[in-house]
Amino acid sequence: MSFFLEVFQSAFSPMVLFYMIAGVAAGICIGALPGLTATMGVALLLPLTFGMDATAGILMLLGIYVGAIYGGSISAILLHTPGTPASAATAIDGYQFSKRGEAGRALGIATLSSYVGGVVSVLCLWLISPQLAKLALKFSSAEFFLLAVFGLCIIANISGENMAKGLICGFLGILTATVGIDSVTSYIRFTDNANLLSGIQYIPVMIGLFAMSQAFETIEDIYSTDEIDASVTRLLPTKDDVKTILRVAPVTGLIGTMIGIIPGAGADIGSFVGYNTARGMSKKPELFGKGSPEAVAASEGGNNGVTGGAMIPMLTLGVPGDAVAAIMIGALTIQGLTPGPMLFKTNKVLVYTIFLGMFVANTIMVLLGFSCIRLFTKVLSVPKTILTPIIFILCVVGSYAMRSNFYDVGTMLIAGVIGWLMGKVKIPTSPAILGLILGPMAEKNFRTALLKSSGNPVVFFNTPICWFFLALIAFTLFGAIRGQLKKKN
Amino acid sequence: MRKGNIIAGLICAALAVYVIVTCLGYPRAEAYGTGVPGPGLWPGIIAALLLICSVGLIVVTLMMKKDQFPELPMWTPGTKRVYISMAILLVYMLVLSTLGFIIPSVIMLFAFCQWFHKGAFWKNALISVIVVLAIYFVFKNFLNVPIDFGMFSI
Repeated sequence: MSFFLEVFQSAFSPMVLFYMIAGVAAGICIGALPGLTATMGVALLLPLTFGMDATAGILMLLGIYVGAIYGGSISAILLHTPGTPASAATAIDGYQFSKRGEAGRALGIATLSSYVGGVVSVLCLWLISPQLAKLALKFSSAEFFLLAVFGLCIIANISGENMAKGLICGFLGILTATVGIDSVTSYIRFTDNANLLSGIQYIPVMIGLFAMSQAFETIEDIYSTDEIDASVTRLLPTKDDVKTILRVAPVTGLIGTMIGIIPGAGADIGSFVGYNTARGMSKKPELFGKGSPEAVAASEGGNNGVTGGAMIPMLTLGVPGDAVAAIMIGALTIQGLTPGPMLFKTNKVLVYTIFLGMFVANTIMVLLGFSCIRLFTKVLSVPKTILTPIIFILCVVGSYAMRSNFYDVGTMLIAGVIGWLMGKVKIPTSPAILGLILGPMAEKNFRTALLKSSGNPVVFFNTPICWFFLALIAFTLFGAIRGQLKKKN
Repeated sequence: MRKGNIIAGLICAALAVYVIVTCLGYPRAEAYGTGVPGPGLWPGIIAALLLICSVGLIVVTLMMKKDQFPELPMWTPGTKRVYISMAILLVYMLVLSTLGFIIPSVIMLFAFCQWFHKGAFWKNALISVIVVLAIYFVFKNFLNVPIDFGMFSI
């Protein structure tokens, strides 16, 4: 009983609630602004958590994540421009509502569906994570190595139109993580610079790749403006709409959660898969694309479902479910915590506070969504011409804040330039982050496993869990290659 | 885009070769006598995979027809704005440690606002001062980030 009381007190302390409300509100604003993604928002505001305690910091970031995924629907509905890629499916039908003068109705459906999807994902997080963590406690280094390799194989699936480019980016991420002192032999690799002995810090790299590079992209098209349909009336969904939401959003929320669990698959995929599933289930599939309430509910339930799902592998296995979860790993590490099964033993209160906090963040999101939506639509009129230079300064301060080191600022700028150039030649940046996070995990466990087996590679084929991961790896690679071949044909 | 793919492939291939050559000079497993692979094995494997993918990218790009690739203009008004912004940011970062956070940040933000926003002079100046001071006080006082470096710190 005292455990739950402790969790309750931790999640509902005034300071934590304040940070969560601020995080959700900031997230909605960030998500609503086209060009600013949830990943960028979390990366940009991560440095704000350095001075906070772990609970407040993590819950604020989760608030930003939840808020931003929902916030993307605002511009998707009002401008036909998804604020984040996660709302691309919402834009298809949501904008049709705006054209009919029913923008408020669409926003109401999106708000409630996001909440339902989010709550479903939190329930799954609550139910699945402890069991998965228990199972993961039985993993040895060989199994963790294969798990990390499985996570890295996902790169092949998220590489977009060109697998080679995604893999290149992933390998660059892994190589970046090898710079500095080798943790097993203490040998210094690829540098003699004192600033790099502890490795290239991945927080500045993330800020550069996700925030700075995107700001550069915005500058290219800085004078473009969007027409806003600000006639937002009647937000609360009708009885029929509520029935539709309660029928569709839990299903797509569950689908989103499952997609979120798969390392590398993000809210954009959750949203589209949810949208397609709902169309398959619908009695009126012909209305999809023409402003169907089911479509908006499906897409928003699906993308918010991913938020909780992405936390499951991150908390239980230390493997990020998506780019935001990768940044969360960074946030936890900065607080001196290591995500993985041991976290459930050593910091049980924090883990359950995160579960409860995600539920609270979703509740704050729905309350803010219904009460302040007109205020959030005003954010759309903030000119990019002012916002982008402010993002520059936040990137600089953010990358400096972690170690008070100007070297990190330089790292961030270089990562930003590289990220922008990669965008130009259509190389996705997310695989680099997966490589940065999973690379060290794979290497450490690979070498530890070989150390334990005196160099015998049979250690990677010894247990049923190893075979399970080997099968998953083969299945993932086969699927990715088949997908590429299909695209070519 | 075609040229971009080839250049990206070449850079990555060169990097991979550099890593492999460097790793060959690192101590081998025998040097440790414990069965643990040497520090060069893992990066060496990854670099080899990077080399394969880079060569693959170059070969596939060369095999495809030129008209299958979209144009990749790198010298447009938009990209020029990006290059100038990068240069401004580089200068900003170089002077930051000497002059402190506030003055270079206000000047940089004001310069960008004047350039992009083209609003009234005093409005841009006011926005720049308020935003920079807000960031300064939030990071310094609320988040305890030692942002008061340089000769003109408060």
